[in-house]
Amino acid sequence: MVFGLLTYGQIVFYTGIIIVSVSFIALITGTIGFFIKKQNLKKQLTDKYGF
Amino acid sequence: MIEKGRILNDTYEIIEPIGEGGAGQIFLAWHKNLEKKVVVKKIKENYVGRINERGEADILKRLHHQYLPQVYDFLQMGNEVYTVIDYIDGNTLMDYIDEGVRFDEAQIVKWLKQLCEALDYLHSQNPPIIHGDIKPSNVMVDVSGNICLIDFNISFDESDMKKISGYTAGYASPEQVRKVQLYTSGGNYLDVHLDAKSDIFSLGATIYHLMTTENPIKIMSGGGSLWDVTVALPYSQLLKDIIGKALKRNPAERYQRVKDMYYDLDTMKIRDKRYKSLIRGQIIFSTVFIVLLLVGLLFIFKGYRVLIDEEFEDKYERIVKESERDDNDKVISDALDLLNDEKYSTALEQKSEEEADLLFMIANEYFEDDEYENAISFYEKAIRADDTNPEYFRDYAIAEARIGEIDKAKSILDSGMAKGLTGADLYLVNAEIESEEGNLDDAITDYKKVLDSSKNTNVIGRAYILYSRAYRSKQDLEKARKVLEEGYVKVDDTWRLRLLREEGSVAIQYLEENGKDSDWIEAAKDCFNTLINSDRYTFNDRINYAILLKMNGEEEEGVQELEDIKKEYPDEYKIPLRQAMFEIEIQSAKDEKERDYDKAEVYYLEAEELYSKYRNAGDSDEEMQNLENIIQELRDKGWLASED
Repeated sequence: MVFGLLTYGQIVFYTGIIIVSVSFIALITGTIGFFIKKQNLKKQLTDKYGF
Repeated sequence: MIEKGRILNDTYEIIEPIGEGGAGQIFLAWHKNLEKKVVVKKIKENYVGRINERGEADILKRLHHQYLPQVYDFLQMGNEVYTVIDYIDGNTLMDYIDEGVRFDEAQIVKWLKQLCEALDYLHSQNPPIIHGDIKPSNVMVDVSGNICLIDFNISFDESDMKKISGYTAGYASPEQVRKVQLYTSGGNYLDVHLDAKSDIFSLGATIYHLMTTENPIKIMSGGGSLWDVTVALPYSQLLKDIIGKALKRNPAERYQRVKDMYYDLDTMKIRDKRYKSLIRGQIIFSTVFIVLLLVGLLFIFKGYRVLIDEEFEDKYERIVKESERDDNDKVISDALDLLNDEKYSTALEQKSEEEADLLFMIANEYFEDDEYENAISFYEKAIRADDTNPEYFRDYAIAEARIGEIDKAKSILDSGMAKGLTGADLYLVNAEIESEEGNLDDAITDYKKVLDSSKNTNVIGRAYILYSRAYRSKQDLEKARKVLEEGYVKVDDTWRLRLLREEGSVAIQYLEENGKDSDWIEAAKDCFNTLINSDRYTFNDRINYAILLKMNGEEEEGVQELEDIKKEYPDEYKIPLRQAMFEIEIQSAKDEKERDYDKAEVYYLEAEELYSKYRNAGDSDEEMQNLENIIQELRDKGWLASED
């Protein structure tokens, strides 16, 4: 046991779970963020360039 | 001058003059057939002999585009030549420039794209048509806000290059200016080639004027920066770059085709710095996400493999501890579960030593239970998994000797010696073979040699037990017990408990054969108490203790002990079997009138029900068979109701 709580295998496994989960959360929030930013920018560019 | 009201060709009624062009007057007229306004353009009389008056009309008549005026007719009356084209209701870009009107980038880009479409149409004709006079006054904006490129005053077909009449300064391309200058000076103007790039320059100059309100003539003079002007320029660098490229003096540096200019206009959005930055951010974000995802998946995959390994090691250690507790059935079933569990199959591939060890433990547990055939099967599997451990060969040979396969045992011994089996291990196997062959004295001699030569506590422990059993076979139970007591100080705690268990078994045998003996009873009680208090007791230890209590006349204690064991092992048939045997013995010791075997029958039926699982698996228990016979006998004799 490592640190008296988790084994090496558990640390690695759960770290992987956390990384994947965080990645997907970041993906969702990032996608939404980029979408909003892109829409705003598109509007600005359309106003600027006219198409 | 054509008078108002005059009707040309019975179709076009002149309304009023609306302007003067380079080649003739321009009149607004009414198309009587189409009932719409048209423009009638007269070529001046003194131009008739010099211009191919049909050329312009022919060119225009062929063209059909939303951003070009439609030509309806071509008229020739005497020395007068007229063309009839669409009337465009609107203002020219020059009108807006003169009024000081400024337009935003969106509007300019829109018109620029429309002009590109019109020019692309012209340049795509066969042969290509070069407008040749693009300037603000030749670009109209109609009432719907769209442009119309008009006045092909100097337009010419590339197939008729000699028809050049002039240019508009500031808007004509450098090569066009040069060509006309050469033409008018009698130089070799045919060496100067004009094409779409010339129109692109003029288009650029037109839009430049619209954007900056400055006459592009300064571009021709080549002085200063293109965008160094007095008015504010609220236009993007992208648009300036597009116009700048169109206005390159060197045609090779300009857009080569209008399509290319249109493409740059059409993709301004995605070439905007902010947009590019956003896309770049998205790409970086996606890349980071993919990398993180892959890293995470790698961690999960590796972590899972390590977890399985750790789980395996955990279970393996637990089984090793169980084997030290001598809980044979549990060791066998747990070890088999671990070996056969698909989850650990990958881990097992890397752990051939542990696999062999588990198989060896199973074999030893079967050996301890005297199930030698099963033990042999697993010794063989252990050796297949790892054939480098001489202990496997040792115990395999002993098991074969136990079932009387002496020759096979000797052959295995030879194989073991080839793997390094020496010294005490060799003596141990020889002792077993001799013991099976009935040469007990020789076997005892060899056991002593094992004890003298071995420092391995497992080998020493086993030797003491087998040494003791050799004396038991010689019916010398006193010596059998003495050997075990001698061994207590020479082995570790695990083996000490096993020696105690063996002594307990020797004591029970002695008491069964010789009757009650206080010394033996005390010795046996000590053994079992020590075992039970150690937490490493087995089920059989407690059964034997209950038997011992009954032998000692402590019947109630013995019965209670069995009841206590039952709570811990509710599915074990041997407990009600033993309870039935106890009850039968207790009742049989009473006078006939006081005997009541009903309780014994209840225990028997309970044992029978639990035993049915083992019977179905093909196992058979002699004691259970014995009890069945006793119960049947009691029924036959009327002590119990018959089964029917």
